[in-house]
Amino acid sequence: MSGTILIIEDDTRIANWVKVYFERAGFSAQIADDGESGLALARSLNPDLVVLDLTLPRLDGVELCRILRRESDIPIVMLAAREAHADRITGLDTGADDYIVKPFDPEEVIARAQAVLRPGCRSLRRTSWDR
Amino acid sequence: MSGAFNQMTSTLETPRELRRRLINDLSHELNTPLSVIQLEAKGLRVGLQTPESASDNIIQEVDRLRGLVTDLNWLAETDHGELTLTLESGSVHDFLTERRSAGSRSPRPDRLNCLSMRPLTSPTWTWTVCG
Repeated sequence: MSGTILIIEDDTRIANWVKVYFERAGFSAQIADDGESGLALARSLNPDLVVLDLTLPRLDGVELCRILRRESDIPIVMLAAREAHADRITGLDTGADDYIVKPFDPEEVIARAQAVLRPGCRSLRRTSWDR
Repeated sequence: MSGAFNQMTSTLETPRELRRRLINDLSHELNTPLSVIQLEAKGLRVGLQTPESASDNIIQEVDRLRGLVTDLNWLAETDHGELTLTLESGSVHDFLTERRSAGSRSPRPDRLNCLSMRPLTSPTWTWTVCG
């Protein structure tokens, strides 16, 4: 499977590891380390999937997810340190397609991303940034 | 009457909100080093990381976790009233300069020094120091 992944994660070590695993699986990946630059990069890059940390500086993950969802149907996989049931519900209600709790197995992140990207999961993908 | 009720509700909500934020922040602070440890170990197992780099990075994250445990112990001491709090007056500039130089000597301060500050007469402030 191929495609472009945008990783929005403020911890550079975690972001770099996630990038390595996506590239190993045949994707190209870019990193943004705060919410605002993540939003800007999402708009300019128009990625196939966003991996989104919940706790971000400048613009938090929940708010960023809301904005992304208003503007497009781009698949979003949330990476979150909060594992409470209510937090998972909030993440999915905000518009995320999947919610993964840290610490996580990177291969599971790839598998879940591939599942979200599988044809049929989002047959009517829409974005206001289409090139 | 409604104002008093709102104020009472707000007073009751504040400790709950503080507790919720503390738990969220704590969860984030603990899960980040745990995530890095898991990623380094996994990277080592699948041949994406060298033993030297993995061990260096894991030791660094364990140190970070140890620092968090120290902070939690300190917090527990304040809750049990085992910590001596002393009210002192002095120059904010001198205080911050001292803390900055102490911070540059060691990666983590051994104590959180400044708990609260309020102006008396400019430029003198008062703060509560523990230790």
